[in-house]
Amino acid sequence: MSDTQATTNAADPAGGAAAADARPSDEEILRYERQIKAGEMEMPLVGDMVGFQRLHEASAQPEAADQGLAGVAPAQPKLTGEYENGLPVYMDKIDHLKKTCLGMRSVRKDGNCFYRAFGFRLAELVWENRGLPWHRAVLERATATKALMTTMGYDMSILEDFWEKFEEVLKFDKEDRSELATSFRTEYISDTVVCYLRLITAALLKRDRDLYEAFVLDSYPTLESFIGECVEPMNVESDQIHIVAMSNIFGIDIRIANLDSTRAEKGINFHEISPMEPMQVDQSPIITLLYRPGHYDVLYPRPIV
Amino acid sequence: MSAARRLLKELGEARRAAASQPGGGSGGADSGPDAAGKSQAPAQPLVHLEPAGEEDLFHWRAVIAGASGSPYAGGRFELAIEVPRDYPIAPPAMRFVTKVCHPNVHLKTGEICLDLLKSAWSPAWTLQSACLAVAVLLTSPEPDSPLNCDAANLLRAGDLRGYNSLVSMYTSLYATP
Repeated sequence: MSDTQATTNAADPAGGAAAADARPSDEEILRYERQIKAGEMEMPLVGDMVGFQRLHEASAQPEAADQGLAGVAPAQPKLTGEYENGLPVYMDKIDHLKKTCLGMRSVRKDGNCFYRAFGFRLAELVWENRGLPWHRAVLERATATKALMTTMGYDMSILEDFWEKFEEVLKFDKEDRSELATSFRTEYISDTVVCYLRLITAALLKRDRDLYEAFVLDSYPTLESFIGECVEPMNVESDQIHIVAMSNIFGIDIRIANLDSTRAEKGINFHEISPMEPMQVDQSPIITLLYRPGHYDVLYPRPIV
Repeated sequence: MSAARRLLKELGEARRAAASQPGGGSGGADSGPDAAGKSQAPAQPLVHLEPAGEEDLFHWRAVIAGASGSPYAGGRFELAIEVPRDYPIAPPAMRFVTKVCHPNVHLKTGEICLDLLKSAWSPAWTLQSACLAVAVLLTSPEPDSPLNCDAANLLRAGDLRGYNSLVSMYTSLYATP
């Protein structure tokens, strides 16, 4: 599609053979970029869980389960499609994912994907584990973030809404789990949760400055400037340090499957992040994410029996 | 709806802050802070922050005082603040109503170039702290991302004297009561 656009719009004086190796103009690149961004904004903030097996079959089949909510089309992440002509290393990894995972849930590529994927999966795990010791333990950790925020100088009376929305998704107790996804597709709720997670990350980095500062001082003059530019604002992509902070705050292990071009020894390589103070609770669940350069989605591994 | 709730809280805060500040609020004997405030903390740059109308929480008006010792000294600068419906996730839009000569402020429209009001916004900021950040911007310009090229060029050329006298002229012409 972009090809035809490029040729019809290009003001190429030579035309013909020269057009073949002509670089697209800056304007064309910008237009293409806008087109991609606009397309991405039409994706749901949080998609439905989809199996890998179905992905390369008829992708035109609509999701029967996802009714209501006008305008929210279920995401159709065509993983294999995207990588069809990719390096064999990708194809091997995708094959492995198909064997070891139940499916994935894509999250909008807006720079908040790590926090949105993490927040959604955390809430979902809390719901799945309701009544179990871990459920109570994680709610305690979540509640403790209010005190952390206050200690680090954030005015919780002004940020009350943010905590309330986060608490609301953690205390989701409807029988129908798809309503949790509906909440995370509601921009106001979803963004408020993402924002709260960003702010508690900032508070943790400030509290445990000794631990984190060294990782940012190479590129930023102070920890505060890093927080002001890369943690607190929305739509700024997350890095290792954000992930470590989330793991430490909630005492949860985060495993990240790397769908990139790095070689994997067994199927796909995982990046594992463990909290410094894990929960002393049996059967603590793990959050598993799928990483492709620049983006995180939720991954659902098959339960190990 | 939560934007309104949050704004009401901010209004409460702003009024409390104004009440606890000696010589705070608008009007009154304004020459006070300069003389009396010197031994203590520097004078509060934010002189006024209130909704512009009685029943509308989404339009605010702020007045900041130019820092003493700067070419903005003695000036009162009015800001118009428009709060979007998805505040505080989205930042407020602020512009100077008073004509101000500054590298990062548009001389005609009053538009302000400050990353905090755009990409670096976070809901941990409030209208009050954002106004204070604008006050700080007055005395710490970023000539490399100018909205007023004439002011920025003077700074970039290192002509501090020329810059100061140009800014002072605008301050006394447009911002001095």
